Amino acid sequence: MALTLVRPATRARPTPMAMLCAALAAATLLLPLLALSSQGGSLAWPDLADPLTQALRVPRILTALTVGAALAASGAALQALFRNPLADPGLVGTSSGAALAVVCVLALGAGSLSLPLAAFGGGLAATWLILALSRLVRGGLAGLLLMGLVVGAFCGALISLILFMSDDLTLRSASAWLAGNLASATGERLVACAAAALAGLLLLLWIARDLDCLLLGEDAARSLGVDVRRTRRLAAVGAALATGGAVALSGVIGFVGMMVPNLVAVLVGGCRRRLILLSAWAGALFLLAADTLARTLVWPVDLPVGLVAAFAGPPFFVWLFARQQRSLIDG
Amino acid sequence: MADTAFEVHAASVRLGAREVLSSVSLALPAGQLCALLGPNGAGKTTLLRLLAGLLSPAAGDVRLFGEPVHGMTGAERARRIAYVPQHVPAGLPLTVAEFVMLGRIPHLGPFSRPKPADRAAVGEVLEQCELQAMADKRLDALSGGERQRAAIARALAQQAPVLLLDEPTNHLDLRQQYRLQRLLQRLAAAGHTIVEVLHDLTLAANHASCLALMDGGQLVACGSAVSVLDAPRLSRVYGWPLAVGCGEAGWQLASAAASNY
Repeated sequence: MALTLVRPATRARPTPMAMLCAALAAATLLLPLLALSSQGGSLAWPDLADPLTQALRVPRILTALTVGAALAASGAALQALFRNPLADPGLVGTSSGAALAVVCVLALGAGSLSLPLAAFGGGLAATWLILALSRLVRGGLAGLLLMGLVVGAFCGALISLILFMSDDLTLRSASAWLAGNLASATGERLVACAAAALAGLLLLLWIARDLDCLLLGEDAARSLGVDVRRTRRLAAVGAALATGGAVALSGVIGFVGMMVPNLVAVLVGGCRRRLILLSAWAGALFLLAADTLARTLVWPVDLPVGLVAAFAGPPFFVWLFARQQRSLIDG
Repeated sequence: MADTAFEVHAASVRLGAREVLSSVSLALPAGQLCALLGPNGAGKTTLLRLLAGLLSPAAGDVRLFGEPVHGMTGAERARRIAYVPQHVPAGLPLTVAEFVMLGRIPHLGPFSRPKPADRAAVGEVLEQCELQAMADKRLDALSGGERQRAAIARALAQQAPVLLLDEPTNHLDLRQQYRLQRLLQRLAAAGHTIVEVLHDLTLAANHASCLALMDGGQLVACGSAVSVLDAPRLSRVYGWPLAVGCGEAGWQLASAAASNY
């Protein structure tokens, strides 16, 4: 819906949109190359025939791109669903629900292909529970976000309980996975999770226009002919698919889903479809950059990428919150 | 007698156990500016939402040009009735033009891009609402009056013959209030049926051609300013002594209580 009615005849500067797209395009070309070249603490021209590169580096890069895109896209959709720019799959319980289901599966010792399915189911159940609870308590928008936090915290408590009761081996594998780790994905799991994430992304793009209406408020959305309940449900399914795919691949990585869509919204703005698409693109590259950093920063120690993302998160959170308060006061 | 747009017949609305609208019957004329008046909690917004099809009546029915509003699908309603809620939410990352384009959604498929006709419609309503110069500005950067005009432009872009507004003059300064009422009058003259909830009696008396006075979930009076604005009746409804004057400068409604109570 990029609509420009009054376009100046002579344009002195490129638009923010053009600049963002140029930056993302450049990063798309350079970042994977950088990620491939940086091995063993130094840069070397990547050798694609190297079995090590094929078995480890390439899947890891693809995992980072998939997870980043999925989390950022779900964040952009959840922010419309919750009508709150602070919504993030990691914060509102979608990721925690998915993680809870995955931990259950790990504790029961089921195969790796059932992980994406469990993650989707858990994420969907958590998001639906949030929507149902918020309708029950009638807390309005604040209640919606609060219920998200409550459900997220409750899932976290259940995860701790399961880990507490499980044996050492499960504990170690589950803890390592929960911390957010991009190295563990194998070929077939990567394909299954990427397919789930892609399905979620497509669903979110399909309902993006209705999400725009939802942001206007429930009455306004309904007066535009939008079926609000259906849109909410589909948004929950889409976000759960995308987040579930990401969580099943790499555990819980917070803040990507909150930071990236907000940054895109501030920089270029626009309708939800544009935000979801650009967020997915930017989120993929952000996580790849974060992972490359995590791999090389204190080589040979492989920092969890969730840690790097989490370090960037809180300052951004504060900045965004302060910015919002300012706009409320000024407005 | 002009054509009737809305015909409400013995409509009641319940919210939980509370009856917020009890057996309201009224007819609102087509192509005119109508104002819903009454004290807080009188049921004005409820009646407006009922007209918009956003609430279902517990009893009775609401018809628009003879057709039950509740029989319409969401999309059908959206092409007939545009609704402007009290607030434009803050923090939307949209420009004015993008925001107004949301009004075209009833005319678009889920993946179809806006066509030249949609762009033309948006351009036209932006001009109508004197917002052309702000088309590419972010919504958040607008003043209160401009935001309200943008909300109306968004509703007008729906190209629905009926426009419903919930307290559109809230938070607007005096000049903006009058400009907004002028705009609504022009739209009514152009054939729109407009119903607005208003708190300012003088503003309503001087601009709306049909007034509906409500109290306690019931309709007290409905008709022209002369027939509705009766000082004893208004004083009773508002629980405050009111004086009604009509002279050179139009209607004047003010408190009749001694200023030093």
